[in-house]
Amino acid sequence: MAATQTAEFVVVRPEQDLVASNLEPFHQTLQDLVKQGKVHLAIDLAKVGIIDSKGLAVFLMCHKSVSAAGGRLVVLTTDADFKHLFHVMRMDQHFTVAESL
Amino acid sequence: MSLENQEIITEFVLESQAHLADIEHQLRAIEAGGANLDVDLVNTVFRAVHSVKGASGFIGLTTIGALAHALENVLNLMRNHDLVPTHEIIDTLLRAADALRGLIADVGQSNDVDPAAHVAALQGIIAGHTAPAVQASLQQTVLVPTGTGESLQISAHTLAVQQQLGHRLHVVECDLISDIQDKGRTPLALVRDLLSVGELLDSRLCCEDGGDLDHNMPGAMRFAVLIATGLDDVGLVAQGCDVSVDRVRPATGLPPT
Repeated sequence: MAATQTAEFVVVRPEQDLVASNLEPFHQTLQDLVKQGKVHLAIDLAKVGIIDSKGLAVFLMCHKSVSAAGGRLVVLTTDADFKHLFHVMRMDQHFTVAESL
Repeated sequence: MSLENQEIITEFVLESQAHLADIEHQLRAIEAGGANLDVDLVNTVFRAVHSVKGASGFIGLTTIGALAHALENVLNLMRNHDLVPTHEIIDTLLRAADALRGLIADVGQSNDVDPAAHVAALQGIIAGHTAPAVQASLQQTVLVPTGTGESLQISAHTLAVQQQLGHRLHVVECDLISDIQDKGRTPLALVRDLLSVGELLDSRLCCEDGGDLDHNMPGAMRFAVLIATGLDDVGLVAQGCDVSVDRVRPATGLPPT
């Protein structure tokens, strides 16, 4: 899974849908980054078409991990549906949803 | 953007433009009436703006929704005779309505526009021209209990608007794992179905046993939403949301109409 470092954030770019059958590498990447002390994480959804319930759960788990370690999570998307989904689920009260860093 | 979304947005633009086509003339006619208010005409404008607000929520047009909501609040006070339509007030409404039509005409960029100046001007009307008791009622919050002892909330003002529109309030509560994931649906599909039934007023998501990345997936993701709809039958609401009927119940704890 592609990940790049900016001045503040590590940007993770999943390259497939975030659905139950595909979640393990995504979950593992995030877990490894937190263990390495990379706790300012951005997840770029540019190549993601579908997020299922368990995919949403990983965002909440990631938010808990990074915030407990003093970091923060930003989700990057230009997709109006995704932005609306995070808003209706009130997840944008936990972490930032933005179009870019 | 998918072809389906493009079609939905094109339909939204055409319908909203039709709703607002005559708003300038209508607002001037309301101004001409002054304290001798034509309530039917104010209701017509209110419903037009409310339709734009509701439809914008369906497709995530947040700026259009925020501005339409602020306009709707002023019009609601006016139709309840809590606000007299002076020249100054109508001018502010006209500027906001013009901005709203501009946002709709350039819908693709609308979410990047900050409507704060128009929203503040509309809120300034309420602060400057309504009685303290009316302003106090706008600050009141109504709590609606969920089935798990938590609460959803709306402002008393929003509740009054929905009740005057003849809408019923329902609480839809489901588990995003067993009711959605396990049935091959996505949360986005649920949100779309909810929005096809009515207007979402508040929501909560709570993960049972939800931990951080070092823990297992949560056992349940309880999602509760307060929805206002013209449907008064729980079964029809459930059918529209594609959830079982025991996941829907009429909202309780509401003050009488």
